[in-house]
Amino acid sequence: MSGFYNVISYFGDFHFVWMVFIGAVAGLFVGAIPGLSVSMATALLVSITYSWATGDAIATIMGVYTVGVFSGAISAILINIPGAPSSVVTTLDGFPLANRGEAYKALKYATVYSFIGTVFGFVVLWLAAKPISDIALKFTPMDYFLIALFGLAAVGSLTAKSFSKGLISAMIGLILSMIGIDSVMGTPRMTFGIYDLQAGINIVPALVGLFGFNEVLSVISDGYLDAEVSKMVRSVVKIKDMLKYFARSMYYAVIGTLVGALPGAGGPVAAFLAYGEAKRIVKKPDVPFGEGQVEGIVASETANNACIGGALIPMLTLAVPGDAVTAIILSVFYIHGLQPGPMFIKTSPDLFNAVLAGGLIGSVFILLLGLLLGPRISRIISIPKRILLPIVTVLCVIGAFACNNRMFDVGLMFFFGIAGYFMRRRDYPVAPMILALVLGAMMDNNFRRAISLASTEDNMIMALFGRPITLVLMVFTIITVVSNIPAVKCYLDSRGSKKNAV
Amino acid sequence: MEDNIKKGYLQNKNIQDAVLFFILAITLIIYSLVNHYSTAKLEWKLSPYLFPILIAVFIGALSFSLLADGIRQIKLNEKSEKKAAIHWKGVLFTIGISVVYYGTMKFLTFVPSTILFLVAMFLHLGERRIWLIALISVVCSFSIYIIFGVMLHVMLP
Repeated sequence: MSGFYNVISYFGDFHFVWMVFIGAVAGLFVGAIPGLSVSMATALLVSITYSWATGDAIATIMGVYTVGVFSGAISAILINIPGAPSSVVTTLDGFPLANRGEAYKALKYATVYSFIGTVFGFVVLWLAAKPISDIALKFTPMDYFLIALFGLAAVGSLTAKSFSKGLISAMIGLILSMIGIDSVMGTPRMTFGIYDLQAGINIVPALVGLFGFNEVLSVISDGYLDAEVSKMVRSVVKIKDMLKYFARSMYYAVIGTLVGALPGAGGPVAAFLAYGEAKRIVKKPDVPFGEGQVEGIVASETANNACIGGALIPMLTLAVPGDAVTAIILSVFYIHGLQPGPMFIKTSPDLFNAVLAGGLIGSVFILLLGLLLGPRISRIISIPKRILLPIVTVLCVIGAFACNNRMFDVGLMFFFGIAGYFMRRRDYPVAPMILALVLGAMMDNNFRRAISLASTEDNMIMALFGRPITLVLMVFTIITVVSNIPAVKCYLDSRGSKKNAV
Repeated sequence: MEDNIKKGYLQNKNIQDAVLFFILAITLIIYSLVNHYSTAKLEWKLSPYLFPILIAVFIGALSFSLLADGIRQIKLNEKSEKKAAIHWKGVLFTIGISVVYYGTMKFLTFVPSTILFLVAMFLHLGERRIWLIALISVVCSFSIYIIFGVMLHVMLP
C-alpha cells in the first residue's frame, strides 16, 4: 500500500509534474511534426538529460514517451504521415475521416482512447510487472521467432490489397535487416565491402525515409499541391458516443499491454493485432474499416498506447527492451548508473514509482494537451504543401542524421524514401518492411538459437514445436497465412455469402 | 494475336514483379550458399546464411503467387486500377535536388545548403512570392539550427 501512496505523492510534487509537462509538450510537437519521431526525441534526450538528476530525467522522458506515442496519431490523422510506426494503423481510418471533414472527431477519439490505453498499460505495469515478466521469461527462442512471424503475417494481410505483396514487403525488410555484423558469429553479412553497412541499416533513417520523404515524393508525383487537407471543423462529440467503445477498448488495451511485454514486438504489432481483432469483432460496421471507421482509431490508439506500460515491463524487470524507445530509455538508465533487471523493483523502489508516476501524469497530459492543443496543432500542419514539403524534407534530413551523426544515414533516408515511393506506385505497403526491419535481427537470432538448442535433443520437431505455447503461436501463424491465400480466401468469402443468403 | 498475348504477359505488373523477385530469390540463395561454404565454414544451424536462405525460399514461393495473380488478371481480363498521372518531372527534380543538397551539405555546411535547397524547392513547387521564399528559407533554416543545434545540442550535418 505504501507503494500506492508513494506513486500518488508524485502528483503533488510540482517540480516533478513540471518536468513531465516539459517532456509532454516536447512529445506533442515531436510526434505531430512529420519527420520527427519519439525514438528520435528520446535519443536526443539521452544527451540532453545526461547531467540532470535521475528523477528529472525520468519525468521528462516519460512525458515525451507517453505524449509522443499519442501525438503520432495527430499527423497520421491530419496528413496521413504517422509520427511513429505504431501510428501506421491510425492512418487507415483517421485520414479518411479527416478527408471527410471529421478530423476534430478523429482527434478526439484518438486522444481519449490513447489516454485510456496509457492508463491501462501503466496500471498493469504497476500491478502485474512481476507475473507478466515471468510468463515472458518462459518463452523459448522459437516462441519469439513465431510471435514475430505472426506479427509480420498479420501486418502483411492488413496493409496490402494483395497478401503476397504485403509479405514480399516484409521479406525485403527482413533481407535488409540481415545487413551488418552478424550478432551471433560476429562476421559481416551482405555488406559487400561497404564499411558503413557494417553497423547495419538503422531503423530511424529507414522510418523517416519510408514515411517522410516517400510522402513528399508521392504528393509531388500526384501533383495535389494545393489540395486542402484535413480542415479542422469543430464538432461536438457526445461523451455517451465517445464511451460507446469503452468495453471493447479494454480488450484492445489487453492486447497492447501483452504485446508490449513481449520483447521486440512493440506498438506496431499491437496496433495491427488490435485492428485485426476490431475488424473481426465488428461484423457489420456502419462505415467499412479503412474508410473512416472510428473503431479502427479506437483499436489502434488504445493498443499502441497500452503498449507503453507493457514495453516497460520487460525493460524494468529483465533489462530487455520491449521496443525501440524502451531500448533508448534503457541506455538513459545506464547513463544514470541504474541497473534495470529482476532486482530493480527491490533495489530502486523510488525510481520504479517515479516511472509509474511519470507515465500516469503523462497520460493526464495526453488528455489535456490532446484536447486543448491537438486541434490547434493542425494549423501548423495544414500550411500549404508547397511550403510544407521542402521543410519536411529538411526535417527528414535532421531526423536521419541526428541518430548516429552519419551522413551515410541521410543517404539511406533518401534511398528508402525513393524505394518507398516506387513500392507505393506498385501497391507494396511499406509498413511490413518497417516492422521486419525492427524484428529481423531478433527473428534471426532466435531462429538460429532455437535450431541449435533443438538439434541437441532426440526429437528435434518436438523440441521445436512441442510446447503448448509454441503450438498456439504456430496455429495462429498458419491460420493467418492460410486464410489469406487467394484460393482459400475466395472459398471462405463464398461460404460467408452463402450463409448470409440463407 | 499471339504477339498481343505475349505483350499482355510482359506488360502485366504482377508478372514483371514476379520475375524480378524470383531472380532476387535465386541470387540470394546463390549468395548465401557461396558465402556459407567459402567464408562462414560453420554448421548450418550456426551459419549467418541460414536465415537469408529461408527468406529467399519464401520470396521464391511468393513470386509464384504473384505470377499466378498476374496470369489470373490476364485470363479474367482484369485491368489494374487507373492511377492519377505521375508528374515524373517533379519527382525527378525533387530527387535530383535532394542529391545535390546531400552533396553540398558536406562543403557548404547545414544552414547555407538548406537555404539554397529550400529556395530551389519552393520555386519548383510553384511558390512565386520571392519575399516569402526568402523569408521562409532563411527563418526556417536558422530556426532549425537554433532549436536543434544550439538549444538541444543536436549535431547537424
